[in-house]
Amino acid sequence: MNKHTMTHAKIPAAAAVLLALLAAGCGVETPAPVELTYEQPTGEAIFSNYVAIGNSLTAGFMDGGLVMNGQVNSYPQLIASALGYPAGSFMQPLIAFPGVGSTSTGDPSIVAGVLRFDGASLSLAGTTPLADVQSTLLLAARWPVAYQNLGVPGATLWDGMNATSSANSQSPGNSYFDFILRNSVFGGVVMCDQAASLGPTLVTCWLGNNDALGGATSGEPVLGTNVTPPAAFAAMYETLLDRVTDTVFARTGFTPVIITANVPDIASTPYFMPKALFRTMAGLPGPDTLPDANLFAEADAVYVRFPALSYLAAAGMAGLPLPEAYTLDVAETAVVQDAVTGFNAAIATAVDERDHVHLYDAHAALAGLTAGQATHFLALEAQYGADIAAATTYFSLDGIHPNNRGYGHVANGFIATINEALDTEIPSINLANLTWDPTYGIPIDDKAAPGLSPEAARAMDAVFR
Amino acid sequence: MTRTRAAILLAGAATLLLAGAAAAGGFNIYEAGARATALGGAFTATADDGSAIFYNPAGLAFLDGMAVDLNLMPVIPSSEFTGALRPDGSYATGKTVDQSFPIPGAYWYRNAGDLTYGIGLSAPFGLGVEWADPEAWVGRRTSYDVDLATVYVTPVLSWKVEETVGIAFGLDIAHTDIQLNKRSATLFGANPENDPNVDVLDARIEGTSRINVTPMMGLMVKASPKVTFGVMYHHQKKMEIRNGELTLTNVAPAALTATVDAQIAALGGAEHDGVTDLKLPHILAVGVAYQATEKARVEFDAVHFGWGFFDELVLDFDGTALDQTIREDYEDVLQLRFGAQYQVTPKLLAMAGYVRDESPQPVGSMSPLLPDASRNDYSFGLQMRATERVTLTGTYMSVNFEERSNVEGGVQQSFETEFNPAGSYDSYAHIFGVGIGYRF
Repeated sequence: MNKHTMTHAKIPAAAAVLLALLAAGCGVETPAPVELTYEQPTGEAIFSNYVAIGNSLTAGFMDGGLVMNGQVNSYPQLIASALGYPAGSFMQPLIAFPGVGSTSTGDPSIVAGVLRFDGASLSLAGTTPLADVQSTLLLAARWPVAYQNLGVPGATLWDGMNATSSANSQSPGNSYFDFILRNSVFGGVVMCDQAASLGPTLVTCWLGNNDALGGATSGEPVLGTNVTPPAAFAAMYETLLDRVTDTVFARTGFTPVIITANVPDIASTPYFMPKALFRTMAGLPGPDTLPDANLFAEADAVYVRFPALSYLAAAGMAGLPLPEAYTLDVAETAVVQDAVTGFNAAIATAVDERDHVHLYDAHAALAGLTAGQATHFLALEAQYGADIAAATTYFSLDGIHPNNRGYGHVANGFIATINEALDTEIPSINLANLTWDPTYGIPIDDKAAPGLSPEAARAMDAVFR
Repeated sequence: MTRTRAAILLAGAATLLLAGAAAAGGFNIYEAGARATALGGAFTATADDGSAIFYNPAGLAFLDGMAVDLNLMPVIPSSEFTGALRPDGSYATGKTVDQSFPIPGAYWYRNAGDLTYGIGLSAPFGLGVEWADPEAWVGRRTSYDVDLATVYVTPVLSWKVEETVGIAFGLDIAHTDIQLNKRSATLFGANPENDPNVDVLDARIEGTSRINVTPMMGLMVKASPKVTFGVMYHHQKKMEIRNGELTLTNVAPAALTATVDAQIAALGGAEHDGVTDLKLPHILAVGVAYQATEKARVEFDAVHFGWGFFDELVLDFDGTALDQTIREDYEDVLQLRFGAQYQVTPKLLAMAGYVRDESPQPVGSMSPLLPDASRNDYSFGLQMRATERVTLTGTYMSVNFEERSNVEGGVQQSFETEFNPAGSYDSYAHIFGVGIGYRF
């Protein structure tokens, strides 16, 4: 083998070695994922993205329905305004006048609006053909993402995590689920997940009221049927808080601040009248003349539901004794109040166990209202006239939902809780600026006798949506 | 040949070749000939075949007779993307589809005493990045498929000033063909696990440039029998694309179809005219070659790219709502190129090269459109004198991109962060080259 051929032989070998070396060290290597730093919002940044979940109280339900006039004074909107959100930037499922009420019009193709005080009685502020609701009333139906106010009238705690529509909610037929969650478009996302989808820094959560009131407003509360057992409530409540927290974290990398509120006593609302007040409002004699046993089918009645007034107005004395559904007797009251006590204990425990969750004691706040603030407009109106009545009570015409000032009071409670928890100085709402017009623009005849129209009575029956 | 006809021919060439994948920093493709590529592109002070028309036309001054050199260099790029970790520990991934871009280098020259003239066709700027599974590709709202091809036709005149000095001038007559496909999205829905946006429009942008003519020049000095210096310069270019077309297609989910149709109508329809300028950098190469022995030669080149010229890409459509400015902010870079060759036998030449290529792209403009990174290239090749008149060249270059992330210190550094995904890219390209030279 001469030198020349040796060289020839070496070249392919060298090339092969070179190729092998190159092949070994080259090609695309899948990069490992890098880490992003996710910062926990602090200071004002905590308020940068506020979302509210809840039920009718959160939605701004007022005067037996949901309408812009009330929604613009919902406590989440008032909080957002106090946080400096420009007008219109906090998205709510706004509904045009006359709104969507929970009253039955007796005709399924006609949707009732809110109630109004017509100078003599309560009547519907208007109605809307069902076919026109979507096109004429639902002003924010085309908002492309979840609403920041996700309060759905009628929602229970279970609904907050499970309901995607009226059909699978605990109040079937309650179209607010459909209007507000809009799952015909978004496709099967529950309230608490819709809230998380917005990546909120601050969440208020006021759920649980309907878990007791569903039974209470039926007049026949039964634990496990229309009242949620407290043990189940406790487990669900923790799940809800963690689900919101974990989902927001998974989406954003930070933990939201959550402000919860507990469940008020039914006795804090004008809707549940003590027996004596009922006698006064109905113009009935005292127990010496008309013993409880003759007045009430449940002789040990403790509270009388507001619709009893219209029932009595229509049926007269022949309607006595008042059917059981209009009263809560001792045992029924205990079922409801024990449940509320249990709920609130569960909420307090859940809050205590979570550093990022803080409690607004709505139970104490509403129990602390003055007698005038907690009295129904109609009762005050009979005595003092409409203007004073409207300026005094914190409750709307349905007797169970606050009016503008009542929601302002609630908003201030939340704000105070936030300020204490986060050491901030959000200004409180000046309640004097929140005037409530129960007439919806109709002049009031102060001398007219108070009373309830049959439609108002139906509204009361269906009131706690 | 009329200007129009030249334009049509160039456009045809560009279409045939379509895009090249960027094989050098930015979207430059420095591979204009198989022999030069084997030497790592360190060819400015050697420039001894037809590809001198690109690498340094002054080299033609020292060549005899007439020759044709035809080169085809298929570039086979691939890129992978790994998204940054989301808070829940998940991350997106993506990869480009298999593609191959045959980069041309076709040259003819003829010596006439002290003057040599020639003409060449090369494609020094190009880009082709097509991501697989475009419907799901996380970067689709920046780009899921981009093609950019630039073809230079370069006539040159080279003058041997004296026995050891050649100078040359030429014109880079260029044409660009560009196509960009992306999705547009809008906030929609309420699903906490998914993206808050949904795709509503598919946007396809196509355009061809006007013919652009700029000067280029070369200088070669044989300082001693062993040492040669070379300088080459291609002027920067602003490719004026005046016939761009934007085509919008409604891809919105059913709930938004009508809304998006109305938006398209409000914009004046699905077809829009657009204009843009694509800025190409100057190339300035300085090289020194050393003939170490009769058989061995080495060269070192420093190549300066004026990428600072590529500051932004302004897409200006007839509807102002569609206008877009893509911030690029490239920086000038200096490439280092080393080449060595050894005459193994009188008929066989072995070559190898190495390139250190810093990316001109700032981290802010890294995107699915062009995930650039610094790279190291290794090349080798063989050239065989098959007959008295014919040479055959085979080359391989391995282009090794460094893995690069647009996240630094836990923060995404991109100029645009809404639709440009945070994460890391790794890319690689094989370049094969074949060349055939014929001396008349």
